[in-house]
Amino acid sequence: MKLFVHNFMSSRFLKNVTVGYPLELVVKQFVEKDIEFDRENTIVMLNKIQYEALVVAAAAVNQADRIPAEQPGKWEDLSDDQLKQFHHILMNIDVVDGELICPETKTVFPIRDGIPNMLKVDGEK
Amino acid sequence: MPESAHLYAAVITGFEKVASREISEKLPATECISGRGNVRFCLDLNSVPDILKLRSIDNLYVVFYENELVGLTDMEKEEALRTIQEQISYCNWKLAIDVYQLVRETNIYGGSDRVVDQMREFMREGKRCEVTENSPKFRVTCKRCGEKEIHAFSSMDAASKFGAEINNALGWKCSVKEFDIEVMLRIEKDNMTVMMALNDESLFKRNICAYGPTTMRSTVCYCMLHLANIKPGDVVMDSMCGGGSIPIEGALAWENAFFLGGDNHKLAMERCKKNWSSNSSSTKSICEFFNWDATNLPLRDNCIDALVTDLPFGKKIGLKTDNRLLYPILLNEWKRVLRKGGRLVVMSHDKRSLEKAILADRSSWHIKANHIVNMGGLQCLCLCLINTQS
Repeated sequence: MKLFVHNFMSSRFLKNVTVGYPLELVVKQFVEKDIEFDRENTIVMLNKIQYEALVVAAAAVNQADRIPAEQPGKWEDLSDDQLKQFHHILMNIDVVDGELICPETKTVFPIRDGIPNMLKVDGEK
Repeated sequence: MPESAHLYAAVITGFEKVASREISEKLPATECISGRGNVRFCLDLNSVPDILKLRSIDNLYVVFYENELVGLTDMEKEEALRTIQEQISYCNWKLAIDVYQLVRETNIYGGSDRVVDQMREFMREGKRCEVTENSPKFRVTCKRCGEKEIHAFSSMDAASKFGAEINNALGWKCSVKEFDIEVMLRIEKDNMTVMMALNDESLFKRNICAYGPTTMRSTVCYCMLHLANIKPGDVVMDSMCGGGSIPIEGALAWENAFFLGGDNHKLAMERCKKNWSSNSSSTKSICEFFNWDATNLPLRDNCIDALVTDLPFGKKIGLKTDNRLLYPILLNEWKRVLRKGGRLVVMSHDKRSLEKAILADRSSWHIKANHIVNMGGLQCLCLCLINTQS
């Protein structure tokens, strides 16, 4: 599961959850793969994401120091090197084993072999 | 060598316009004309090697004879078949072999020059060629369009007579199962077209190694994705992806977009992993999978740019009675996760349930395109909708 995906995920479908975002992330095993960097594409993606959730994801793999704690002004103003740091976190990191956790109910959704299992357990509908 | 070739692409019936668009986008094609289940176009010989890059077509042929055989439908069987056989000398064998060799990147023994010489000697002196170990293996197939009863002969008759004449003139070895060259006759009333196949395996057999109960051809997946008008940086999702045919084709064909595929079935996830791992050596394509419930998507609002999926038809998976309840729930979830202006491309055989579900919420969706597509004999409805979020 690449980290950009975490940014779009929410546990709002669970009973008694109002927001369900961002999900907590526990990473037990991950791999790094070099995905080709494209400046324009990285900017398009960055315009879609929520920054606080991105920091949560980066922290889960201990790479939050690659990026500023607060959202930079305009993405277009950043240099290629700065954008590459974001690209690295969003695209190059693949979680193999871990957990996604609902921030409100603490329901745990496992990530096994790179695939998150987001199916509700019976009784929560 | 003539400068251009006339090509015939066999495409999914219903998606001819999409195929035509892809051809015009990727090649300097001219005289692009769509027929039922096909698109014909002309292409410079220099551009011909690029044709196998097309992703919306199932099979490709080069046309090397086309004519009206006046009175064919009135002729007795023997006369009709003899007339068909005689056309062999009017076929442009040189063009066919040249294009075949260009696309396949292999050579027929002696090339097109030898074939032209053999044919000339056959027509002039009736000289028959023997089959040798260098002879290519071939077969002839014949397809008749429109009413079949108007001819005194069957498609098989035409194919075997034409094949026999090729065997006599060129000494090619007839082989139905394993062949190098396939000649296709297409007869419609009095009109006959002769084509040579350019791809060996059907082009839709790519991507997937682990087949499930309802795996879609890659070419159908491509056409549906094409309808979604994917832009660089788009996040595209199939929330009921089965073995992942749609997101995988998407990730391979649109390297600058991001694809997500989800399914509620554990076995489907296993297939996704197998199918993706045999394709994922790319350092650009991105395809992510999830085990989720499509009626309760674990996604925040307005985060997806395009959604492409084939719904359970209610035949192999699910039931039609379920669809009446299921489709509206799915549509609501899609409305929520798709951003405003986002595109939804859906396919289903259960046209009624699909149309009803959309009608019930018609202010939220603008219908952009509507195709009736032939999927293995089933007439399916494929719709492209835009989320108006009103």
